[in-house]
Amino acid sequence: MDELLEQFLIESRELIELAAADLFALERAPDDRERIDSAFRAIHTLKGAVGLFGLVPMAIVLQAAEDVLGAWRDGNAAPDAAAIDRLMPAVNTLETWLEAFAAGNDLPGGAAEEAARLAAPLLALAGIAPVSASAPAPVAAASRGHRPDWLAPLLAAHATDLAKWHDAGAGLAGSLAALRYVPTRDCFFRGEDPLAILRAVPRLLAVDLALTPEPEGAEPDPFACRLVIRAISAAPEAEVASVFRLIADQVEIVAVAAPARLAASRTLRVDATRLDTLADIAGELIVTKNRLAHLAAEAPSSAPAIARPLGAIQAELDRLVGDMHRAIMRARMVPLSQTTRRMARLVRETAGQLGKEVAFDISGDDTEADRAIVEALFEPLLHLLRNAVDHGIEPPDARSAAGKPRAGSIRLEVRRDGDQIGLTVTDDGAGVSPVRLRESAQRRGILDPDTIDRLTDEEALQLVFMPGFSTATAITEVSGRGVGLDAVRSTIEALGGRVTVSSTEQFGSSWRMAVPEAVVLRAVMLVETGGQVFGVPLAAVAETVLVPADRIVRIGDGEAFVLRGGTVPLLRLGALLHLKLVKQAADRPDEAPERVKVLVVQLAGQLAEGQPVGVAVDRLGERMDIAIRPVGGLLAGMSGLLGAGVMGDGSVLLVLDMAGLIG
Amino acid sequence: MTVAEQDGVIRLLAPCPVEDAESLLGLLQASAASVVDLTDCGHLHTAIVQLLLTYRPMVTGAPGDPFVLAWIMPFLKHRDAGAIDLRPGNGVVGPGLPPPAPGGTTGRGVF
Repeated sequence: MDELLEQFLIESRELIELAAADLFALERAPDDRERIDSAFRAIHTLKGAVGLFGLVPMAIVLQAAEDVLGAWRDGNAAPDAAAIDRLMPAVNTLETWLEAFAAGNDLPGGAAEEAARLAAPLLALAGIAPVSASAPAPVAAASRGHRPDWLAPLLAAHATDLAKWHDAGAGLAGSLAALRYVPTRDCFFRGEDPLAILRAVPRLLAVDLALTPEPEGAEPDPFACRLVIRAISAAPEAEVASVFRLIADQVEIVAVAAPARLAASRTLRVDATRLDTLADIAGELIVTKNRLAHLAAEAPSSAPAIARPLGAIQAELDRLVGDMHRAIMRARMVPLSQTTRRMARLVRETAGQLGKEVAFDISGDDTEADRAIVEALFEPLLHLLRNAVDHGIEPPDARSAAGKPRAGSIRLEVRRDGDQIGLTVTDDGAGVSPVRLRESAQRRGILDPDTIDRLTDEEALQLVFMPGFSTATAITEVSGRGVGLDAVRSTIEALGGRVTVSSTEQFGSSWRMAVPEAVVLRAVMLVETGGQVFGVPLAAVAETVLVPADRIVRIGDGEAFVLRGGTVPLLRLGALLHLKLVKQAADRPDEAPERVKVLVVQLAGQLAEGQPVGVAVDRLGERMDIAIRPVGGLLAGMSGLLGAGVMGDGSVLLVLDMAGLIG
Repeated sequence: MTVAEQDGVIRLLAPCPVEDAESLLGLLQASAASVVDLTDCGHLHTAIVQLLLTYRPMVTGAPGDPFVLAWIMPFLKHRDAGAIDLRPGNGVVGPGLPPPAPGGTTGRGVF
């Protein structure tokens, strides 16, 4: 795709989302000056961009929207729900048109009439008399977006200058004036000095000088002006134009919206796949580095002469590769708002479809996480929010009857918790009934009655994440039959996170997700059982203990041991993996068979949160950092397997998901 | 006279009006001088700047005039085409290209 077009689509989508998010915020807090300014800037910038592609209907709507926002900004009108209700469909239509343009390089048929229909009420809001579709307003909008050929190269050539000015606080908030001044050849004889005129232009940001060539073979004439001047000024277009008022025919002046990427100085848009490639290379480099570490460890015996320098180089390489890896990972961090800012609109739409009233709030979404995580959170978040609107929030009348405000409240909170990102979706709706969940689980035969009876209410609530589970009596178009909450769980767990729900009937529910900020290097501990080596994420291992064999007691089918006064169930890793235990620890005379090596695993999430479980292994190995990749093919659906990584000696390490294995 | 040559160095002194263009052209064409010193210059008339852009002598000195220093000087300093952004097709020849000097490869003093 044409690079300019691609850039346009990316930025325009962002600007539309930004404007929509601002409008939602204004619906809640109409006095928020910053939001008004932000929405105005987004619409204004977008208007400049659509002009570049000749999208006149979009320009008409944007011009009308800008007039409304401008009136708010200047205090000539105040935002209210009615006005926002007129702006929102306009923004939605802009988005539809943009996608149509992306798909087919053109706007849908009838866009011009639609534009006039959308613009008229907006212009009325802005206090501008509505105009007929053929009236000058569209023309003005289009011509304001007009960009001569020389403009783009000029802006591109001076992007860094403009950024510097921005850094220096010159404030490129509004618009810039770009000019191209071609003095007449005989202007010197009329007493004009083009550079003296240029000197009078206020707030110059950039200047380009060029000479037109002398006609072939002609003597250079020092008194014939051949200079072409192009410049950018931070002053308003009108102020710049006044400098040239006597020679207006020699100059072309255009107002340019300070493009967003100029305002966001010193940042660079990089295709995400390039960053992914870098991250992959860094991952491979770590593997190679680990192989070198392997070699360096053997050097003292096999090659003593080079052992010391090799060790030093290896240590240095270790540090550098680590630094590089962290730097690349930082480059991949983006704020969660990239995902969450789309949510406000989706919640509003869902509520509209269901005839419910919902006040939606987002906080903390400036928290950053790896791009892959941020993108992968879209589906689960969307699902939880739709679920909250559909099954959580009651219809307005039911809420009134229950003594609640008619409008339900849904909050999405994001916060950082060490290297984890916590997301909580809270609603003040009907809540989930553990009693009904138990009934439903029993009816569907998901669990046997005994197990169901043993579940605490808190544990029973987690049943909603089981596949094929639904308690909603009415199946709705919006969140279907409850398929999806299990999809939420599997998506979150695939990211290395977990999701839980807590709920109080009549008071609402709270869905908590915790995901790592990046899915990249994981510290794993190597363990061996049945002659095979596996990796266990270090995060899952609370401690390792040696338990004397005689302290292990049998309880029914199971085993347990006492750790610091508490009874800890003991499982055998080999049995969990259904391995044929060909090499028991007893086969190794050098190890004390009377002591069993046990990983104490703190199971995060799910039914037995917080309860330690012991997992017996044959051998405990070293810990290492490893890039874990999801496994594909036949192994893809295997529970208990987190992924695979490549070890220093080139062999593949299967990394176990302890929660999945035990739970 | 605000254009003066001494020891092969052309000095531009005080603001240079359009009338100086002819004498500067003469000096640039005739003398072996390849250096123009702008230390003491004031505003430079477009005609003067145009000559400097055409003949591209080595330009030295930091002009005291902030406008000349900020916006004109960068175009006089760079003698290599790579320093100036020139795009084909916009109908202009930039300061970085060799001057239109028929019969000369250096573009200076061969008329």
